[in-house]
Amino acid sequence: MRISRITADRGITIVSTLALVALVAAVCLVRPGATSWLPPCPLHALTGLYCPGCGSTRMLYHLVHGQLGMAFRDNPLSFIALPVVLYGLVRQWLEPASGVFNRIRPAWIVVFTVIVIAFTVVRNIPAQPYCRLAPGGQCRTALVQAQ
Amino acid sequence: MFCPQCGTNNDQQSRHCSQCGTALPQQPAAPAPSQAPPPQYQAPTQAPPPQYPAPPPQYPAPGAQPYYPPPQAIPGVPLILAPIPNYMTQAVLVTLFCCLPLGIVGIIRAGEVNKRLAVNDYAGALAASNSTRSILWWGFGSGLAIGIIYAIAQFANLANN
Repeated sequence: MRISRITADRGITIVSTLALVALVAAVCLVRPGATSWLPPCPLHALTGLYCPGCGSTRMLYHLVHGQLGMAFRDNPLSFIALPVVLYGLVRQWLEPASGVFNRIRPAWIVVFTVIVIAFTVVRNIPAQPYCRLAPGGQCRTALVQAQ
Repeated sequence: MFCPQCGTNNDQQSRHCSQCGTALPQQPAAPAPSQAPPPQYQAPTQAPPPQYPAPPPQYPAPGAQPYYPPPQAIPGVPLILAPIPNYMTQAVLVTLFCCLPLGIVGIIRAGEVNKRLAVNDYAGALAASNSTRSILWWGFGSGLAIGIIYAIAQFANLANN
């Protein structure tokens, strides 16, 4: 049982690390938005709404190119969460059965879930202070008025 | 009983795992009470062993307890040696870099794993951990599928132009 569980954990650790490495490699080569080689967010393409991850690829692009302020404005939530994700992945690689984040109190995970949902709602409000959380910190209404 | 292959908690009577179909080890029959031969020789009356006072009860040092205590061996339930992962890292990764609501479900399920661990419900934690992993595999899989479909559409565009 122990061996089978660790193998299963290993699989998802490898896939998630490869996905992140592929994303970082992609933003080193091309600029999101300027190329047709990076897929757009399917939710945004279909509905025009921003999901909690919209702007994450641009965030990585600006991070890789040293523009920290731009990176933060692209997606503040994933900018803050990225070090936590990296820490979790490193722990999983160093110690496959480390049980990282097992001791976080359930209430804090509820708080984090509420933050993610609130972030998603607020960044979709097309009015000034709220839409500063939208990718790039830009309001869609402002863009419409400018055109 | 837990499946030795995939860890699914099955009915005590079931012969095969409901999740993966692996044959489950059957419970061994209760061992027959050992029939010791009657003593052949009766020792002459012996003085009863001296009675010592019972040792004082041992209390754990306060403040040394972990957030959840280590698992206790329960007859019939195998001891889970490895910590039960909650896949929080992957859930956050799917939420913030895959653009999929499956990630939020994964975060909520990761909280369920921690909730079960906090009350020592290891069977429940293991079940929640396994379902979290499935959800996150769906998350990564659908992200990859969207990427492949998009790449095929791009190549089709290139071929047309």
